[in-house]
Amino acid sequence: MEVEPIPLRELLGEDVVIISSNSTEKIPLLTNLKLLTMGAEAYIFRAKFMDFEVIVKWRFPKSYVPKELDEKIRKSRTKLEAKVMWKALALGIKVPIPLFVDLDSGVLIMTFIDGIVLRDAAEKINKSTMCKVVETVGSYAAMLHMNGIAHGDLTTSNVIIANDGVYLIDFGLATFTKRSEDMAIDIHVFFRSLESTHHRIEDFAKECFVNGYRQVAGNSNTELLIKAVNSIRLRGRYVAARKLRTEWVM
Amino acid sequence: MIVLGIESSAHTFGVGIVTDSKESFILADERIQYVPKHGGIHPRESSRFLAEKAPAVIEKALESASLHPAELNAIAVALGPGLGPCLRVGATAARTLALFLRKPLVPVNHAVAHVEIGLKLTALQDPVVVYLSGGNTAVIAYVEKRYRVFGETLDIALGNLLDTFARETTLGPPYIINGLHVVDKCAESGKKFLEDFPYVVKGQDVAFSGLLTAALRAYRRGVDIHDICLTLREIAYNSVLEVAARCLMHTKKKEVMLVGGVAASPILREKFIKMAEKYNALVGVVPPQYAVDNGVMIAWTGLLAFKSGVVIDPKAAFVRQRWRIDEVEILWK
Repeated sequence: MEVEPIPLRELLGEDVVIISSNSTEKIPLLTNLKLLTMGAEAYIFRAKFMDFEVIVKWRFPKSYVPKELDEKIRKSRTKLEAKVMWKALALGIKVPIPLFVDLDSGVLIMTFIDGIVLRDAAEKINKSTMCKVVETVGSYAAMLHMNGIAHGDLTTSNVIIANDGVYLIDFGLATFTKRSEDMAIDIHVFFRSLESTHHRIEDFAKECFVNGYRQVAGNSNTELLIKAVNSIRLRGRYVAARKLRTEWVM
Repeated sequence: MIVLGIESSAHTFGVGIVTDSKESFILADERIQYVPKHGGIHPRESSRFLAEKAPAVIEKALESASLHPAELNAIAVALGPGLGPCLRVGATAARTLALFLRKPLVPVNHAVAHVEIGLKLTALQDPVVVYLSGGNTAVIAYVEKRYRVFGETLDIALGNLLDTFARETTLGPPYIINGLHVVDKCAESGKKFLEDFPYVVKGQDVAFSGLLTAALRAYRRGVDIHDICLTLREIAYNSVLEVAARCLMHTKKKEVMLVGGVAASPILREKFIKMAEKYNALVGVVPPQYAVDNGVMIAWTGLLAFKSGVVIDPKAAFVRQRWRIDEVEILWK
Protein backbone atom coordinates (compact mmCIF):
# COMPACT_ATOMS: atom_id res chain seq x y z
CA MET A 1 0.00 0.00 0.00
CA GLU A 2 1.34 3.39 -1.05
CA VAL A 3 1.50 5.87 1.80
CA GLU A 4 2.23 9.56 1.47
CA PRO A 5 2.80 10.69 5.04
CA ILE A 6 3.36 14.33 4.18
CA PRO A 7 3.12 15.78 7.70
CA LEU A 8 5.42 13.03 8.92
CA ARG A 9 8.02 13.79 6.30
CA GLU A 10 8.38 17.26 7.81
CA LEU A 11 8.84 15.79 11.25
CA LEU A 12 11.40 13.35 9.89
CA GLY A 13 13.54 16.26 8.78
CA GLU A 14 13.72 17.92 12.19
CA ASP A 15 16.49 17.75 14.72
CA VAL A 16 16.52 18.19 18.46
CA VAL A 17 19.42 19.83 20.24
CA ILE A 18 20.08 18.50 23.69
CA ILE A 19 22.17 20.81 25.81
CA SER A 20 23.62 19.57 29.05
CA SER A 21 26.23 21.10 31.34
CA ASN A 22 29.20 19.58 29.57
CA SER A 23 28.07 18.88 26.02
CA THR A 24 25.70 19.72 23.22
CA GLU A 25 24.18 16.89 21.25
CA LYS A 26 22.06 17.00 18.15
CA ILE A 27 19.71 14.08 17.52
CA PRO A 28 17.00 13.58 14.92
CA LEU A 29 13.44 14.02 16.18
CA LEU A 30 11.89 11.10 14.39
CA THR A 31 13.58 8.11 12.77
CA ASN A 32 12.91 4.54 11.66
CA LEU A 33 9.37 5.25 10.49
CA LYS A 34 7.74 1.96 9.55
CA LEU A 35 4.11 1.41 8.64
CA LEU A 36 2.60 -1.15 10.99
CA THR A 37 -1.01 -1.21 10.03
CA MET A 38 -3.86 0.84 8.83
CA GLY A 39 -6.61 1.45 11.32
CA ALA A 40 -10.14 2.37 10.43
CA GLU A 41 -9.26 6.05 10.22
CA ALA A 42 -5.53 6.33 10.65
CA TYR A 43 -2.18 4.93 9.64
CA ILE A 44 -0.30 3.44 12.53
CA PHE A 45 3.50 3.65 12.29
CA ARG A 46 6.21 2.35 14.49
CA ALA A 47 9.10 4.78 14.93
CA LYS A 48 11.80 6.19 17.15
CA PHE A 49 10.98 9.58 18.65
CA MET A 50 14.19 10.96 20.10
CA ASP A 51 15.05 8.03 22.35
CA PHE A 52 11.59 6.53 22.73
CA GLU A 53 10.08 3.60 20.91
CA VAL A 54 6.81 5.09 19.74
CA ILE A 55 3.62 4.62 17.81
CA VAL A 56 2.77 7.39 15.39
CA LYS A 57 -0.89 7.69 14.63
CA TRP A 58 -1.71 9.78 11.62
CA ARG A 59 -5.35 10.43 10.82
CA PHE A 60 -5.10 10.67 7.06
CA PRO A 61 -7.33 12.93 4.95
CA LYS A 62 -10.12 10.94 3.34
CA SER A 63 -10.89 11.64 -0.26
CA TYR A 64 -14.48 10.49 0.12
CA VAL A 65 -15.32 12.97 2.86
CA PRO A 66 -15.76 16.72 2.21
CA LYS A 67 -12.64 18.57 3.32
CA GLU A 68 -14.34 20.67 5.98
CA LEU A 69 -16.00 17.75 7.70
CA ASP A 70 -12.89 15.62 7.41
CA GLU A 71 -10.62 18.29 8.95
CA LYS A 72 -13.07 18.97 11.72
CA ILE A 73 -13.36 15.32 12.66
CA ARG A 74 -9.63 14.62 12.46
CA LYS A 75 -8.67 17.65 14.51
CA SER A 76 -11.22 17.15 17.26
CA ARG A 77 -10.57 13.45 17.60
CA THR A 78 -6.79 13.88 17.77
CA LYS A 79 -7.13 16.55 20.44
CA LEU A 80 -9.63 14.62 22.49
CA GLU A 81 -7.65 11.42 22.21
CA ALA A 82 -4.55 12.99 23.73
CA LYS A 83 -6.56 14.65 26.49
CA VAL A 84 -8.37 11.49 27.45
CA MET A 85 -5.13 9.52 27.51
CA TRP A 86 -3.58 11.98 29.95
CA LYS A 87 -6.62 11.75 32.15
CA ALA A 88 -6.55 7.95 32.02
CA LEU A 89 -2.87 7.96 32.96
CA ALA A 90 -3.65 10.19 35.91
CA LEU A 91 -6.24 7.64 37.03
CA GLY A 92 -3.62 4.92 37.03
CA ILE A 93 -4.91 3.08 33.99
CA LYS A 94 -2.27 1.54 31.76
CA VAL A 95 -2.42 3.37 28.43
CA PRO A 96 0.26 4.61 26.03
CA ILE A 97 1.75 7.99 27.02
CA PRO A 98 1.10 10.73 24.47
CA LEU A 99 4.35 12.52 23.64
CA PHE A 100 3.58 14.80 20.73
CA VAL A 101 0.46 16.24 19.12
CA ASP A 102 0.01 18.14 15.86
CA LEU A 103 -3.66 18.97 15.53
CA ASP A 104 -3.57 20.52 12.07
CA SER A 105 -2.13 17.44 10.46
CA GLY A 106 -3.79 14.96 12.81
CA VAL A 107 -0.58 13.44 14.16
CA LEU A 108 -0.36 11.90 17.61
CA ILE A 109 2.82 10.27 18.87
CA MET A 110 2.66 7.96 21.88
CA THR A 111 4.80 5.34 23.58
CA PHE A 112 4.94 1.90 22.02
CA ILE A 113 3.39 -0.97 23.96
CA ASP A 114 5.06 -4.31 23.35
CA GLY A 115 2.52 -7.13 23.61
CA ILE A 116 -0.25 -9.00 21.88
CA VAL A 117 -3.73 -7.82 21.05
CA LEU A 118 -6.47 -9.51 23.05
CA ARG A 119 -8.40 -10.23 19.88
CA ASP A 120 -5.60 -12.49 18.63
CA ALA A 121 -4.69 -13.84 22.05
CA ALA A 122 -8.20 -14.80 23.11
CA GLU A 123 -8.14 -18.18 21.40
CA LYS A 124 -4.62 -19.02 22.57
CA ILE A 125 -4.45 -18.16 26.25
CA ASN A 126 -6.06 -20.34 28.90
CA LYS A 127 -9.39 -19.58 30.46
CA SER A 128 -8.18 -18.22 33.78
CA THR A 129 -5.71 -15.83 32.12
CA MET A 130 -8.42 -14.71 29.74
CA CYS A 131 -10.69 -14.08 32.70
CA LYS A 132 -8.01 -12.04 34.50
CA VAL A 133 -7.39 -9.91 31.41
CA VAL A 134 -11.05 -9.25 30.78
CA GLU A 135 -11.56 -8.53 34.47
CA THR A 136 -8.83 -5.89 34.28
CA VAL A 137 -10.50 -4.40 31.22
CA GLY A 138 -13.72 -4.29 33.25
CA SER A 139 -12.03 -2.49 36.10
CA TYR A 140 -10.40 0.00 33.69
CA ALA A 141 -13.78 0.67 32.11
CA ALA A 142 -15.30 1.28 35.52
CA MET A 143 -12.48 3.66 36.48
CA LEU A 144 -12.94 5.63 33.28
CA HIS A 145 -16.69 5.72 33.74
CA MET A 146 -16.50 6.81 37.38
CA ASN A 147 -14.41 9.73 36.14
CA GLY A 148 -16.65 10.80 33.33
CA ILE A 149 -14.88 9.19 30.39
CA ALA A 150 -16.37 6.81 27.84
CA HIS A 151 -13.84 4.92 25.73
CA GLY A 152 -16.12 4.87 22.69
CA ASP A 153 -14.58 1.84 20.98
CA LEU A 154 -14.01 -0.72 23.68
CA THR A 155 -13.37 -3.92 21.70
CA THR A 156 -10.99 -6.83 22.05
CA SER A 157 -8.92 -5.25 19.27
CA ASN A 158 -8.14 -2.35 21.58
CA VAL A 159 -6.69 -4.27 24.50
CA ILE A 160 -3.01 -5.20 24.55
CA ILE A 161 -1.56 -7.82 26.87
CA ALA A 162 2.00 -6.80 27.68
CA ASN A 163 4.56 -8.21 30.09
CA ASP A 164 3.84 -5.55 32.68
CA GLY A 165 0.07 -5.73 32.47
CA VAL A 166 -3.00 -5.08 30.40
CA TYR A 167 -3.09 -1.91 28.34
CA LEU A 168 -6.03 -0.07 26.87
CA ILE A 169 -5.38 1.59 23.52
CA ASP A 170 -7.10 3.64 20.84
CA PHE A 171 -8.96 6.43 22.57
CA GLY A 172 -9.85 7.88 19.18
CA LEU A 173 -13.57 7.81 19.87
CA ALA A 174 -13.38 8.59 23.57
CA THR A 175 -15.45 11.38 25.05
CA PHE A 176 -15.82 13.23 28.31
CA THR A 177 -19.38 12.57 29.30
CA LYS A 178 -21.64 12.29 32.28
CA ARG A 179 -24.39 10.28 30.55
CA SER A 180 -24.79 6.72 31.78
CA GLU A 181 -25.99 5.95 28.25
CA ASP A 182 -22.47 6.49 26.88
CA MET A 183 -21.02 4.24 29.56
CA ALA A 184 -23.56 1.55 28.78
CA ILE A 185 -22.66 1.76 25.10
CA ASP A 186 -19.03 1.06 25.99
CA ILE A 187 -20.09 -2.18 27.61
CA HIS A 188 -22.52 -3.01 24.84
CA VAL A 189 -19.74 -2.55 22.28
CA PHE A 190 -17.33 -4.68 24.27
CA PHE A 191 -19.89 -7.44 24.71
CA ARG A 192 -20.64 -7.38 21.05
CA SER A 193 -16.99 -7.70 20.11
CA LEU A 194 -16.92 -10.79 22.34
CA GLU A 195 -20.04 -12.19 20.70
CA SER A 196 -19.00 -11.55 17.14
CA THR A 197 -15.38 -12.63 17.36
CA HIS A 198 -15.07 -14.87 20.40
CA HIS A 199 -18.53 -16.37 20.76
CA ARG A 200 -17.16 -19.64 22.14
CA ILE A 201 -16.14 -17.96 25.38
CA GLU A 202 -18.58 -15.09 25.29
CA ASP A 203 -20.69 -15.86 28.39
CA PHE A 204 -17.66 -16.69 30.49
CA ALA A 205 -15.78 -13.58 29.41
CA LYS A 206 -18.79 -11.34 30.03
CA GLU A 207 -19.01 -12.57 33.59
CA CYS A 208 -15.33 -11.82 34.18
CA PHE A 209 -15.79 -8.34 32.75
CA VAL A 210 -18.74 -7.58 35.00
CA ASN A 211 -16.80 -8.87 38.02
CA GLY A 212 -13.93 -6.50 37.31
CA TYR A 213 -16.35 -3.66 36.76
CA ARG A 214 -18.21 -4.39 39.98
CA GLN A 215 -15.01 -4.32 42.05
CA VAL A 216 -14.44 -0.69 41.11
CA ALA A 217 -17.91 0.68 40.54
CA GLY A 218 -19.77 -1.18 43.27
CA ASN A 219 -22.89 -3.29 43.09
CA SER A 220 -25.61 -0.73 42.61
CA ASN A 221 -23.79 1.21 39.87
CA THR A 222 -23.06 -2.01 38.03
CA GLU A 223 -26.64 -3.27 38.22
CA LEU A 224 -27.95 0.03 36.90
CA LEU A 225 -25.50 -0.03 34.06
CA ILE A 226 -26.28 -3.61 33.07
CA LYS A 227 -29.93 -2.60 32.89
CA ALA A 228 -29.01 0.25 30.57
CA VAL A 229 -26.93 -2.13 28.43
CA ASN A 230 -29.91 -4.44 28.04
CA SER A 231 -32.16 -1.60 27.04
CA ILE A 232 -29.65 -0.49 24.38
CA ARG A 233 -29.48 -4.02 23.09
CA LEU A 234 -33.26 -4.08 22.70
CA ARG A 235 -33.04 -1.04 20.45
CA GLY A 236 -31.34 -3.03 17.69
CA ARG A 237 -33.33 -4.03 14.67
CA TYR A 238 -35.96 -6.74 15.08
CA VAL A 239 -35.02 -7.84 18.57
CA ALA A 240 -37.50 -10.57 19.43
CA ALA A 241 -37.50 -9.74 23.12
CA ARG A 242 -38.80 -6.27 22.37
CA LYS A 243 -42.55 -6.14 22.57
CA LEU A 244 -44.92 -3.79 20.84
CA ARG A 245 -44.12 -0.12 21.05
CA THR A 246 -47.05 0.51 23.40
CA GLU A 247 -45.46 -1.77 25.95
CA TRP A 248 -42.20 0.09 26.17
CA VAL A 249 -41.47 1.10 29.70
CA MET A 250 -38.92 3.81 30.17
CA MET B 1 -33.77 -27.98 -9.06
CA ILE B 2 -36.37 -25.26 -9.44
CA VAL B 3 -37.63 -23.10 -6.55
CA LEU B 4 -40.32 -20.44 -6.48
CA GLY B 5 -39.83 -17.67 -3.92
CA ILE B 6 -42.29 -15.16 -2.53
CA GLU B 7 -41.35 -11.80 -1.00
CA SER B 8 -43.84 -9.48 0.70
CA SER B 9 -42.04 -7.90 3.65
CA ALA B 10 -42.98 -4.27 3.04
CA HIS B 11 -44.21 -2.63 -0.13
CA THR B 12 -43.23 -5.19 -2.75
CA PHE B 13 -44.94 -8.41 -3.66
CA GLY B 14 -42.29 -10.27 -5.62
CA VAL B 15 -42.27 -13.74 -7.08
CA GLY B 16 -39.04 -15.21 -8.40
CA ILE B 17 -38.31 -18.59 -9.90
CA VAL B 18 -34.72 -19.81 -10.00
CA THR B 19 -32.83 -22.90 -10.99
CA ASP B 20 -29.38 -24.19 -10.10
CA SER B 21 -28.86 -26.08 -13.31
CA LYS B 22 -28.31 -23.28 -15.78
CA GLU B 23 -25.96 -20.35 -16.31
CA SER B 24 -28.84 -17.88 -16.27
CA PHE B 25 -30.36 -18.90 -12.99
CA ILE B 26 -33.35 -16.57 -13.03
CA LEU B 27 -36.36 -18.12 -14.76
CA ALA B 28 -38.89 -15.55 -13.66
CA ASP B 29 -38.87 -12.25 -11.80
CA GLU B 30 -42.23 -10.61 -11.30
CA ARG B 31 -43.04 -7.90 -8.80
CA ILE B 32 -45.52 -5.26 -7.97
CA GLN B 33 -44.95 -2.33 -5.65
CA TYR B 34 -47.29 -0.42 -3.38
CA VAL B 35 -46.68 3.32 -3.73
CA PRO B 36 -48.43 5.40 -1.07
CA LYS B 37 -50.20 8.52 -2.30
CA HIS B 38 -48.71 10.47 0.57
CA GLY B 39 -46.71 9.72 3.69
CA GLY B 40 -44.88 6.48 4.33
CA ILE B 41 -45.95 2.87 3.93
CA HIS B 42 -49.04 2.16 5.99
CA PRO B 43 -48.83 -1.57 6.82
CA ARG B 44 -52.57 -2.14 6.48
CA GLU B 45 -52.91 -0.28 3.20
CA SER B 46 -49.82 -1.96 1.80
CA SER B 47 -50.98 -5.45 2.82
CA ARG B 48 -54.39 -4.89 1.24
CA PHE B 49 -52.75 -3.86 -1.97
CA LEU B 50 -50.41 -6.85 -1.91
CA ALA B 51 -53.23 -9.30 -1.16
CA GLU B 52 -55.20 -7.97 -4.10
CA LYS B 53 -52.31 -8.35 -6.56
CA ALA B 54 -50.69 -11.52 -5.23
CA PRO B 55 -52.51 -14.17 -7.32
CA ALA B 56 -51.87 -12.32 -10.58
CA VAL B 57 -48.15 -11.90 -9.82
CA ILE B 58 -47.72 -15.60 -9.04
CA GLU B 59 -49.56 -16.57 -12.19
CA LYS B 60 -47.48 -14.20 -14.28
CA ALA B 61 -44.24 -15.60 -12.87
CA LEU B 62 -45.17 -19.16 -13.74
CA GLU B 63 -46.22 -17.99 -17.18
CA SER B 64 -43.02 -16.08 -17.93
CA ALA B 65 -40.94 -19.06 -16.81
CA SER B 66 -43.25 -21.24 -18.94
CA LEU B 67 -43.45 -23.74 -16.13
CA HIS B 68 -46.19 -25.98 -14.89
CA PRO B 69 -46.51 -25.70 -11.08
CA ALA B 70 -45.79 -29.43 -10.85
CA GLU B 71 -42.27 -28.80 -12.13
CA LEU B 72 -41.35 -26.79 -9.02
CA ASN B 73 -39.25 -28.54 -6.38
CA ALA B 74 -40.07 -26.25 -3.49
CA ILE B 75 -41.81 -23.04 -2.44
CA ALA B 76 -39.71 -20.50 -0.54
CA VAL B 77 -41.13 -17.60 1.40
CA ALA B 78 -39.78 -14.63 3.33
CA LEU B 79 -41.21 -15.07 6.83
CA GLY B 80 -39.42 -12.04 8.25
CA PRO B 81 -38.21 -9.54 9.21
CA GLY B 82 -40.71 -6.97 8.01
CA LEU B 83 -44.17 -5.52 8.46
CA GLY B 84 -46.49 -8.14 9.95
CA PRO B 85 -49.60 -7.61 7.83
CA CYS B 86 -47.52 -7.56 4.64
CA LEU B 87 -45.48 -10.65 5.56
CA ARG B 88 -48.71 -12.52 6.23
CA VAL B 89 -49.86 -12.00 2.65
CA GLY B 90 -46.78 -13.77 1.27
CA ALA B 91 -46.88 -16.42 3.98
CA THR B 92 -50.52 -17.22 3.29
CA ALA B 93 -49.89 -17.45 -0.44
CA ALA B 94 -46.84 -19.67 0.07
CA ARG B 95 -48.52 -22.00 2.57
CA THR B 96 -51.47 -22.41 0.23
CA LEU B 97 -49.24 -23.14 -2.75
CA ALA B 98 -47.16 -25.63 -0.78
CA LEU B 99 -50.18 -27.49 0.54
CA PHE B 100 -52.12 -27.46 -2.70
CA LEU B 101 -49.19 -28.49 -4.88
CA ARG B 102 -47.79 -30.84 -2.21
CA LYS B 103 -44.40 -29.15 -2.35
CA PRO B 104 -42.01 -28.58 0.55
CA LEU B 105 -42.12 -25.11 2.09
CA VAL B 106 -38.80 -23.36 2.81
CA PRO B 107 -38.57 -20.46 5.29
CA VAL B 108 -36.26 -17.63 4.27
CA ASN B 109 -34.94 -14.69 6.26
CA HIS B 110 -35.36 -11.54 4.18
CA ALA B 111 -32.02 -10.08 5.28
CA VAL B 112 -30.12 -13.30 4.56
CA ALA B 113 -31.74 -13.27 1.12
CA HIS B 114 -30.42 -9.76 0.42
CA VAL B 115 -26.92 -10.99 1.23
CA GLU B 116 -27.16 -14.26 -0.71
CA ILE B 117 -28.47 -12.71 -3.92
CA GLY B 118 -25.70 -10.13 -3.61
CA LEU B 119 -23.05 -12.83 -3.31
CA LYS B 120 -24.49 -14.63 -6.32
CA LEU B 121 -24.59 -11.52 -8.50
CA THR B 122 -21.34 -9.83 -7.45
CA ALA B 123 -19.34 -13.07 -7.30
CA LEU B 124 -17.64 -11.87 -4.13
CA GLN B 125 -16.36 -14.61 -1.83
CA ASP B 126 -16.42 -13.35 1.73
CA PRO B 127 -17.26 -9.67 1.93
CA VAL B 128 -18.15 -7.24 4.65
CA VAL B 129 -21.80 -6.64 3.84
CA VAL B 130 -23.20 -3.14 4.16
CA TYR B 131 -26.96 -3.49 4.22
CA LEU B 132 -28.64 -0.14 3.72
CA SER B 133 -32.35 0.22 3.16
CA GLY B 134 -35.41 2.04 4.40
CA GLY B 135 -35.65 -0.20 7.42
CA ASN B 136 -32.09 -1.43 7.88
CA THR B 137 -28.62 -0.04 8.39
CA ALA B 138 -26.22 -2.78 9.31
CA VAL B 139 -22.66 -3.87 8.72
CA ILE B 140 -22.56 -7.65 8.56
CA ALA B 141 -19.86 -10.25 8.12
CA TYR B 142 -19.92 -14.03 7.87
CA VAL B 143 -18.19 -15.73 10.80
CA GLU B 144 -18.66 -19.40 11.60
CA LYS B 145 -22.05 -20.38 10.23
CA ARG B 146 -23.75 -17.05 10.77
CA TYR B 147 -23.99 -13.62 9.27
CA ARG B 148 -23.01 -11.65 12.32
CA VAL B 149 -23.92 -8.04 12.87
CA PHE B 150 -20.82 -5.97 13.54
CA GLY B 151 -22.57 -2.65 13.67
CA GLU B 152 -26.02 -1.30 13.12
CA THR B 153 -28.11 1.76 13.71
CA LEU B 154 -29.20 2.28 17.28
CA ASP B 155 -32.29 4.18 16.19
CA ILE B 156 -33.54 4.91 12.66
CA ALA B 157 -32.23 3.47 9.40
CA LEU B 158 -30.35 5.46 6.77
CA GLY B 159 -33.18 5.17 4.23
CA ASN B 160 -35.64 6.20 6.89
CA LEU B 161 -33.51 9.25 7.72
CA LEU B 162 -33.38 10.41 4.10
CA ASP B 163 -37.05 9.70 3.38
CA THR B 164 -38.33 11.30 6.56
CA PHE B 165 -36.25 14.40 5.98
CA ALA B 166 -37.52 14.60 2.40
CA ARG B 167 -41.11 14.15 3.52
CA GLU B 168 -40.95 16.76 6.28
CA THR B 169 -39.37 19.30 3.96
CA THR B 170 -41.71 18.44 1.05
CA LEU B 171 -38.80 17.36 -1.17
CA GLY B 172 -40.63 14.04 -1.58
CA PRO B 173 -42.40 11.73 -2.23
CA PRO B 174 -41.42 10.42 -4.68
CA TYR B 175 -38.10 9.91 -2.95
CA ILE B 176 -36.15 8.59 -5.91
CA ILE B 177 -36.10 10.53 -9.18
CA ASN B 178 -34.07 9.06 -12.07
CA GLY B 179 -32.22 6.75 -9.72
CA LEU B 180 -31.15 9.61 -7.46
CA HIS B 181 -32.58 10.24 -4.00
CA VAL B 182 -34.16 13.69 -3.69
CA VAL B 183 -31.85 14.50 -0.77
CA ASP B 184 -28.81 13.63 -2.94
CA LYS B 185 -30.23 15.82 -5.68
CA CYS B 186 -30.90 18.70 -3.30
CA ALA B 187 -27.37 18.40 -1.87
CA GLU B 188 -25.85 18.99 -5.30
CA SER B 189 -26.40 22.74 -4.99
CA GLY B 190 -25.32 22.84 -1.35
CA LYS B 191 -22.24 24.99 -0.76
CA LYS B 192 -21.74 25.49 2.90
CA PHE B 193 -21.09 22.90 5.53
CA LEU B 194 -23.26 23.52 8.55
CA GLU B 195 -21.89 23.49 12.08
CA ASP B 196 -23.30 21.60 15.00
CA PHE B 197 -24.92 18.68 13.27
CA PRO B 198 -24.25 15.61 15.40
CA TYR B 199 -21.93 13.00 13.94
CA VAL B 200 -22.68 9.88 15.93
CA VAL B 201 -20.47 6.82 15.63
CA LYS B 202 -20.24 4.67 18.72
CA GLY B 203 -17.72 1.94 18.18
CA GLN B 204 -19.27 0.11 15.28
CA ASP B 205 -22.76 1.49 15.70
CA VAL B 206 -24.34 4.59 14.21
CA ALA B 207 -27.34 6.69 15.22
CA PHE B 208 -29.26 9.08 13.01
CA SER B 209 -32.21 10.43 14.97
CA GLY B 210 -30.25 13.34 16.42
CA LEU B 211 -29.03 14.25 12.96
CA LEU B 212 -32.60 14.21 11.66
CA THR B 213 -33.76 16.47 14.47
CA ALA B 214 -30.88 18.90 13.91
CA ALA B 215 -31.59 19.00 10.18
CA LEU B 216 -35.31 19.62 10.63
CA ARG B 217 -34.62 22.33 13.22
CA ALA B 218 -32.27 24.07 10.82
CA TYR B 219 -34.90 23.81 8.10
CA ARG B 220 -37.51 25.41 10.33
CA ARG B 221 -35.06 28.18 11.22
CA GLY B 222 -34.92 28.98 7.53
CA VAL B 223 -31.39 27.77 6.78
CA ASP B 224 -30.78 27.11 3.07
CA ILE B 225 -32.18 23.65 2.40
CA HIS B 226 -29.38 22.75 -0.01
CA ASP B 227 -26.79 23.28 2.68
CA ILE B 228 -28.84 21.18 5.07
CA CYS B 229 -29.14 18.38 2.50
CA LEU B 230 -25.39 18.47 1.89
CA THR B 231 -24.49 18.37 5.58
CA LEU B 232 -27.07 15.74 6.40
CA ARG B 233 -26.03 13.49 3.56
CA GLU B 234 -22.30 13.79 4.11
CA ILE B 235 -22.54 13.12 7.82
CA ALA B 236 -24.92 10.20 7.35
CA TYR B 237 -22.96 8.55 4.51
CA ASN B 238 -19.62 9.15 6.14
CA SER B 239 -20.63 7.60 9.42
CA VAL B 240 -21.71 4.45 7.57
CA LEU B 241 -18.42 4.45 5.65
CA GLU B 242 -16.50 4.77 8.88
CA VAL B 243 -18.30 1.83 10.43
CA ALA B 244 -17.70 -0.25 7.31
CA ALA B 245 -14.00 0.66 7.35
CA ARG B 246 -13.84 -0.31 11.00
CA CYS B 247 -15.42 -3.68 10.22
CA LEU B 248 -12.99 -4.25 7.33
CA MET B 249 -10.10 -3.65 9.71
CA HIS B 250 -11.61 -5.72 12.50
CA THR B 251 -12.45 -8.78 10.41
CA LYS B 252 -9.47 -8.41 8.03
CA LYS B 253 -11.75 -9.18 5.09
CA LYS B 254 -10.83 -7.88 1.65
CA GLU B 255 -14.20 -7.27 0.05
CA VAL B 256 -17.14 -4.95 0.62
CA MET B 257 -20.62 -5.54 -0.70
CA LEU B 258 -23.41 -2.98 -0.81
CA VAL B 259 -26.97 -4.29 -0.64
CA GLY B 260 -30.42 -2.88 0.05
CA GLY B 261 -32.42 -0.05 -1.48
CA VAL B 262 -30.08 2.78 -0.45
CA ALA B 263 -27.12 0.95 -2.01
CA ALA B 264 -28.51 2.11 -5.34
CA SER B 265 -27.30 5.67 -4.57
CA PRO B 266 -24.53 6.49 -7.08
CA ILE B 267 -23.00 9.00 -4.67
CA LEU B 268 -22.73 6.47 -1.87
CA ARG B 269 -21.31 3.91 -4.28
CA GLU B 270 -18.60 6.29 -5.44
CA LYS B 271 -17.62 7.01 -1.84
CA PHE B 272 -17.41 3.30 -1.10
CA ILE B 273 -15.20 2.68 -4.11
CA LYS B 274 -12.83 5.45 -2.98
CA MET B 275 -12.81 4.12 0.56
CA ALA B 276 -12.18 0.53 -0.50
CA GLU B 277 -9.29 1.62 -2.71
CA LYS B 278 -7.63 3.08 0.35
CA TYR B 279 -8.05 -0.24 2.17
CA ASN B 280 -7.05 -2.43 -0.76
CA ALA B 281 -10.49 -4.00 -0.81
CA LEU B 282 -12.80 -4.89 -3.65
CA VAL B 283 -16.24 -3.35 -3.85
CA GLY B 284 -19.24 -5.20 -5.18
CA VAL B 285 -22.48 -3.38 -5.68
CA VAL B 286 -25.63 -5.41 -6.13
CA PRO B 287 -27.41 -4.21 -9.30
CA PRO B 288 -30.23 -1.83 -8.24
CA GLN B 289 -32.87 -4.18 -9.63
CA TYR B 290 -31.84 -6.87 -7.17
CA ALA B 291 -30.66 -4.56 -4.37
CA VAL B 292 -34.29 -3.68 -3.64
CA ASP B 293 -36.87 -6.17 -2.38
CA ASN B 294 -37.61 -8.91 -4.93
CA GLY B 295 -38.78 -12.49 -5.20
CA VAL B 296 -35.64 -13.79 -6.91
CA MET B 297 -33.52 -13.34 -3.79
CA ILE B 298 -36.03 -15.32 -1.75
CA ALA B 299 -36.16 -18.08 -4.34
CA TRP B 300 -32.35 -18.24 -4.59
CA THR B 301 -31.84 -18.36 -0.82
CA GLY B 302 -34.68 -20.84 -0.57
CA LEU B 303 -32.90 -23.03 -3.08
CA LEU B 304 -29.64 -22.94 -1.11
CA ALA B 305 -31.49 -23.67 2.13
CA PHE B 306 -33.62 -26.43 0.61
CA LYS B 307 -30.50 -28.18 -0.68
CA SER B 308 -29.17 -28.16 2.89
CA GLY B 309 -32.40 -29.71 4.10
CA VAL B 310 -34.20 -26.67 5.48
CA VAL B 311 -37.99 -27.09 5.30
CA ILE B 312 -40.86 -26.02 7.51
CA ASP B 313 -44.26 -27.54 8.21
CA PRO B 314 -46.86 -25.12 6.74
CA LYS B 315 -48.72 -25.37 10.05
CA ALA B 316 -45.71 -23.89 11.81
CA ALA B 317 -44.81 -21.35 9.15
CA PHE B 318 -45.72 -18.21 11.06
CA VAL B 319 -44.29 -14.85 10.14
CA ARG B 320 -41.56 -13.42 12.35
CA GLN B 321 -41.56 -9.65 12.25
CA ARG B 322 -38.37 -9.48 14.28
CA TRP B 323 -36.16 -12.18 12.88
CA ARG B 324 -32.60 -10.97 13.14
CA ILE B 325 -30.13 -11.99 10.47
CA ASP B 326 -27.75 -13.39 13.11
CA GLU B 327 -30.39 -15.85 14.35
CA VAL B 328 -30.21 -17.85 11.13
CA GLU B 329 -27.74 -20.70 10.92
CA ILE B 330 -26.18 -20.70 7.47
CA LEU B 331 -26.03 -24.41 6.66
CA TRP B 332 -24.91 -24.05 3.07
CA LYS B 333 -21.51 -22.51 3.77
